[in-house]
Amino acid sequence: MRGNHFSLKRFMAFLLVILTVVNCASAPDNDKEALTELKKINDPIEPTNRWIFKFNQGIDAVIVKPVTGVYRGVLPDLVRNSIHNFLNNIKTPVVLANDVLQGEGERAGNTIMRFIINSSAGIAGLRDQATGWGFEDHDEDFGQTLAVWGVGEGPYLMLPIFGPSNPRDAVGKLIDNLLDPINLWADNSDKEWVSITRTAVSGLDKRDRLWDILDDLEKSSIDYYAAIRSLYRQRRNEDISNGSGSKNNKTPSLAETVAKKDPLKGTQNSTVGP
Amino acid sequence: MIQFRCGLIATFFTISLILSASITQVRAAEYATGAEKFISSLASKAEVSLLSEKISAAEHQRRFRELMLDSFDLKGVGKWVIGRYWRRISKSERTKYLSLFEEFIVATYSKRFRGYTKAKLQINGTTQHKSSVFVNSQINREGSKPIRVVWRVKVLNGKHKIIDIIIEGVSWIQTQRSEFVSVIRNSGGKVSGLMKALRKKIVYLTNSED
Repeated sequence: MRGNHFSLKRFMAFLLVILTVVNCASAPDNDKEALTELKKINDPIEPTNRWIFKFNQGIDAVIVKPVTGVYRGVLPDLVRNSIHNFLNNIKTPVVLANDVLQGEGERAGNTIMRFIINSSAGIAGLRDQATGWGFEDHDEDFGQTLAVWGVGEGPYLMLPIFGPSNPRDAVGKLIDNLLDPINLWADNSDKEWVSITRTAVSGLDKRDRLWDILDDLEKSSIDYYAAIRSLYRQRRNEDISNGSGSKNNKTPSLAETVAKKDPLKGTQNSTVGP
Repeated sequence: MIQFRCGLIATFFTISLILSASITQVRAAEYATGAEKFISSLASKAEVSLLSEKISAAEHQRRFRELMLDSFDLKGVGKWVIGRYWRRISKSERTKYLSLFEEFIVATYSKRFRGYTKAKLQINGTTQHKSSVFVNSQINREGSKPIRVVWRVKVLNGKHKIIDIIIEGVSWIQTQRSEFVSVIRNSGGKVSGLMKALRKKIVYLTNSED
């Protein structure tokens, strides 16, 4: 039995193709500015994406948030942090592979050191001792690797359950899953429950960590969907540039654009679009 | 003789060029340190007037608004976040929109600075890009990772003003703009649709307890 794991992936890939082909929002006829705006928003299947977003919000309200609430309520910070550290530590091979694929030697070394320290002094990865010793955590994934290789993000995509994405990052996620030695081992030895449990707990951990931010954002935003879309892209750009020289620092200056009485010109998506 | 004069002029020219370049450099450095000082003094001002004393909610909000208006270029940001739609609305609509925008910002953010756990702002130098100074800082909280915050500062009419805050790579005005433009688009390109949504949100935020 080859497990749900693979059929889920196939399903996701299938969905991706369908979503990109179907339901493309039509561009406004001949308004040049509107066209540029649409290009910058880069969300051609927005109606479908919004629908999926709503579906995800429903799932979140009914299942994910309540379960995460229990998780937060029952387990003290210390335990939840340990779980987070443990999950982080077993992700090392994937992070390392992507460090190498991006030609980031120093970061690869850092990843190896972290793994050695945290697996030993950090008690099988439960404690993040490495950060305390100057080896800070960083994340890499194949979506970022593709970006470094020059692959554009493509149109915005809201994936069911998995949330905000784009073709590049969705493919990246798939590849990361295929690369992961623990998943490979689990799939090959009929222990699908291992990867399923891991995916579930990782999801729980992620939701737990986003608890306050999402609460806050939902409360204060006037278009939650658009806010998430913008945040996702900005965060990804930040991760791709490894936090240094974020493109946000390079937007044309505000007062200049205001002075030209053309606030939009060349500003908004110089940070966001491909 | 002519040659000599040319040489003199060239020398003079070069010297003045070097001088003016170094003056610009000095100005740039002053500009950057000025921005840095501005941010750190703002942080301590905020700490004193918003966090240290016990004051009523109304007084807190009043002080927050005062500080916000004094240190942010709210008008410029308000304009920028609706992009090209700014040019499509009348003067009176602009005034109405800008005051709504101010209310929205106060309603959204003033509560966040109530009973805020003590966090220290540490400034890590500046970078400059065109006429903006980016003041790099981090907020240190006990027991958790520091948060990277970049303040984008500009001098307008001789005063330092914040025009953006970039938290962990996420720009405040960028995010605000994508939301605002999205709301306008979804109400048929009408800014009045955004204003309606803002009014609704302000009421919601003012009435919600936290």
